[in-house]
Amino acid sequence: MLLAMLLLYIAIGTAIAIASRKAGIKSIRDYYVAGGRLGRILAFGTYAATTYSAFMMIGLVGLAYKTGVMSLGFELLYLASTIYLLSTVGHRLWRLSKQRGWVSPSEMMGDLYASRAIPVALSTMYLIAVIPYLAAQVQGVGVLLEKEGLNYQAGVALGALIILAWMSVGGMWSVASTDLYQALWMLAGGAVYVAWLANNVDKAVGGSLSALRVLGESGYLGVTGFWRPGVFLAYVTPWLFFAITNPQVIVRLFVHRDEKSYRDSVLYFSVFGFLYTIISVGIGLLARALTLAGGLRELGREDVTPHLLSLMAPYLSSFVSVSIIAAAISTGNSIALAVASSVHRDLLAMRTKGTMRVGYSIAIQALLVTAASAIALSRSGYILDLSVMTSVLLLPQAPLVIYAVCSLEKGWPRPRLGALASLLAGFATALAYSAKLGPREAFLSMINGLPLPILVLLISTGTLAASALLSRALRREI
Amino acid sequence: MIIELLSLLLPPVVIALMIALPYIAFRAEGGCGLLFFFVASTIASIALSLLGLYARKNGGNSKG
Repeated sequence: MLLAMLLLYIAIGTAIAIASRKAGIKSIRDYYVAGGRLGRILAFGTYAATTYSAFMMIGLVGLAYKTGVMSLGFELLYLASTIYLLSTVGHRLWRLSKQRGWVSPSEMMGDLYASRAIPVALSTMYLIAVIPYLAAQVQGVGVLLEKEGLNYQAGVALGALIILAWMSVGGMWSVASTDLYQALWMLAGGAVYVAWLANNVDKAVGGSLSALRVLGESGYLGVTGFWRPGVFLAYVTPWLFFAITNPQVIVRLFVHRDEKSYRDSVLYFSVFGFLYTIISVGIGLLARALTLAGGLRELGREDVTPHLLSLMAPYLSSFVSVSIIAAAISTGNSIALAVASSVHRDLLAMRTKGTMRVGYSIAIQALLVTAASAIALSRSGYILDLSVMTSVLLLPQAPLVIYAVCSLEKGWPRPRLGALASLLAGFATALAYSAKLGPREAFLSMINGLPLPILVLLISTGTLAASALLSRALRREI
Repeated sequence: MIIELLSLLLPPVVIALMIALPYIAFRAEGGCGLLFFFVASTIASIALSLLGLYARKNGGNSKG
């Protein structure tokens, strides 16, 4: 049954990817950011499917199951902050992208700080930081297919192949078109999953209100022992700034056709994000209620969704499994395309116009996906931990983006060396602790009483602020 | 102008409260208070942000 559903998903997605080529790719900007010509529906779909990965239905469900309602706060904080950033900083960046014709996120940063070194440094940072995140997506596909009885290695290979195929066919056009299709499948899959579980909870506990009572009495609707203040801050901080630190979402600020497309896509995304978050956390909490009522054995954090899928009727579990695979694929190809744009344009400095250069991009995409697949085959770490560590490594970009946008309006100096130092200092701190403690331990560690993400943010913000103040003082002297 | 200012200032305040309040007001909570707080404050923050986005004047360049 899963195989049939998977074939259907692949066939429809491939047809959509090929059809998207009709949009016409005449330049490298067309290939990487759809020439800034996406309407509101495609722009919304690609943002939603890119942002929400397999983490939602595997990692977040498990987190809610194990640690309770604070996981809802963690994920909703991400959503509230993202909508705020898209409504303020993101909107300004979109307008600037129209004027400046940005193609890659590192190019944007280089332009904002009039620096050649920043795009090179950022492209290298993306390569180091984002490949584990890409690997987590491919790993998700492998794990899901393995639980359904297929070979893990074959699952990883299939995931990598779909990511590469749907990305290379038409660049951002094929990615955005398949993303919209996958976003709809993701939401439908989540709705089916939560409805099936609610039905089972009804039978075991006697209704959703009774489930809430059971959860409340067991402490899962309060602050459980897991969520110490430092842990909550460590989880939340990198995600608060996700919209302006991760290349695959930054690049989605350049794709909108006009003001209406931008505004409406943010509105639609907020509705999608809210529903998808409530569904994901709801599944985790309902599963916990079922366990408390004796209807489900105690499960490990990563095992909740795979185990529940094994209890569903085959046609339902296949539909839901494919919706999770869709979440992984849509995030995976968006990451690879965004990083490829930075490597292509800024690291290798291939800025010649023309569709011939698309061949180079496809080669870079293939290398990235192969590297991620190799990591996925080693099966290391939790998906959640890998994903959060990526955002910690990219966190130093946040103060640079916010300061650049503010400085444009206020006329403040934008010190290029200070910006580069800020970026490198924050990144080196995060990388050093990751290497020393391991990624899983690093982002939950308290360093001098501070969670690592806060320390990284303070170091990069402090370095940037000091250099900006120095530049201002020097400008006055002159 | 007032809407733009509120939409700029209030969402970060709501976000800060979403981080701090669980440890102050809901620490020993056994009911659904924390759940409703997270949902209601998220809706409020998103609504304010969107209000600001739609209220903002079109600065031109919208056609690229």
